[in-house]
Amino acid sequence: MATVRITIDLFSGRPNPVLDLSGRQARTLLTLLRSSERGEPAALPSSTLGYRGLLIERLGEKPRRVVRSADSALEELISAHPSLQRRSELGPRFPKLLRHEMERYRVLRAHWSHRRLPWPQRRHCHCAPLYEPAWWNDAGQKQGNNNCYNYATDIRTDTFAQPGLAAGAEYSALTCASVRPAAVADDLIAKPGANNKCPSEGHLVALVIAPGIDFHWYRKNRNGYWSHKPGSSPVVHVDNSNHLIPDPRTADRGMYTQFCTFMVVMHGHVKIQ
Amino acid sequence: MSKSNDAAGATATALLYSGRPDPTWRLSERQLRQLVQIWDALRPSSVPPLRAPPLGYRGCVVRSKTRRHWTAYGGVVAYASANLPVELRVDDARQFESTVLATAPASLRLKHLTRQP
Repeated sequence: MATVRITIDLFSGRPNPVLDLSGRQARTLLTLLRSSERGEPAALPSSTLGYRGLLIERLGEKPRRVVRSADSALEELISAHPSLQRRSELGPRFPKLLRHEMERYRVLRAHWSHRRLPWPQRRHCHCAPLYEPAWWNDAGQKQGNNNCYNYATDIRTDTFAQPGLAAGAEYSALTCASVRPAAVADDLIAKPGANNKCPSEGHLVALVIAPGIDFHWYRKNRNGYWSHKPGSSPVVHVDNSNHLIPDPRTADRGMYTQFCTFMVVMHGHVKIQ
Repeated sequence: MSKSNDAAGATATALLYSGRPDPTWRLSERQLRQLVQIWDALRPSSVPPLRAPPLGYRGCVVRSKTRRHWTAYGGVVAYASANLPVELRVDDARQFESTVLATAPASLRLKHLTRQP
């Protein structure tokens, strides 16, 4: 008998709740799904915050197929499922929250425009790497073993790269005067006068220092804003005050109080380890 | 949950740095047992963990040899182990977190770096 996995696509930081249904419940659900697929051709908005539909997958089916649905009969079936009441990690108010969110999503869909909003582009940053946080933020190998230096140089090594290490000239102190030449030894180009302007070739990065504690790197994106990867944490495009970063010199950088320098990464020239 | 037969080889990590590897140290069996006792006494939370600012101290993690791990920050402790959903518990007094940080060797000088607002 087929088992059907339902993922309630709801959370952003926490894992989504998952239900596995089998037997009569699975058959009912698949019947409802078939009729809803006939009547609901429009694509559902899937990158909003909060409830975004049910992800339905028949386990063991090859090739794997996951269907997103916001059919009201299916939602009714799932939101009333008794196992949701028993899941202590979801809290006692979860079923009510879910029903509220499902209603909110209905309203959102009714007013949703599928028009793509343009992402601001600046021509002079055409050499900058793509901002693709999802590629780095895998919560596993890539995210855990690549740091700000990997991200800024756009080079995945899975070694938590250290400035100068590949060139045998690793920094000896957590100061601008020590980390900057270590990066130069890796073939980054110091551009203290870059003044937040994109270079004509390569891309711009910025080195900041928490004196005696740590170093940190940012990279400038194609749209002129900056992003960064704090250690093994996910890539983000906001500062410590949750603001976009038009210039790392003025960003809220927490303990990284010293702005050291802008540098340029020429693609294919830099070697890090 | 309260078994601690996997204590040997347990480690703690302060999520702190960006460029340097985060400081990690070993926990003794007694220390892990004490943390598990604190965890067992916490009440479940339905509130998502507070998101730490990107730079600076972002919480601490305890990993046992049997791939159980706890992440503590801002009054919430998250527990994860293989094949189980993440479980959240309230720790308003930040007892779990402060106990983990107290086990750090003095040479790491974490005290002033791990203060939260």
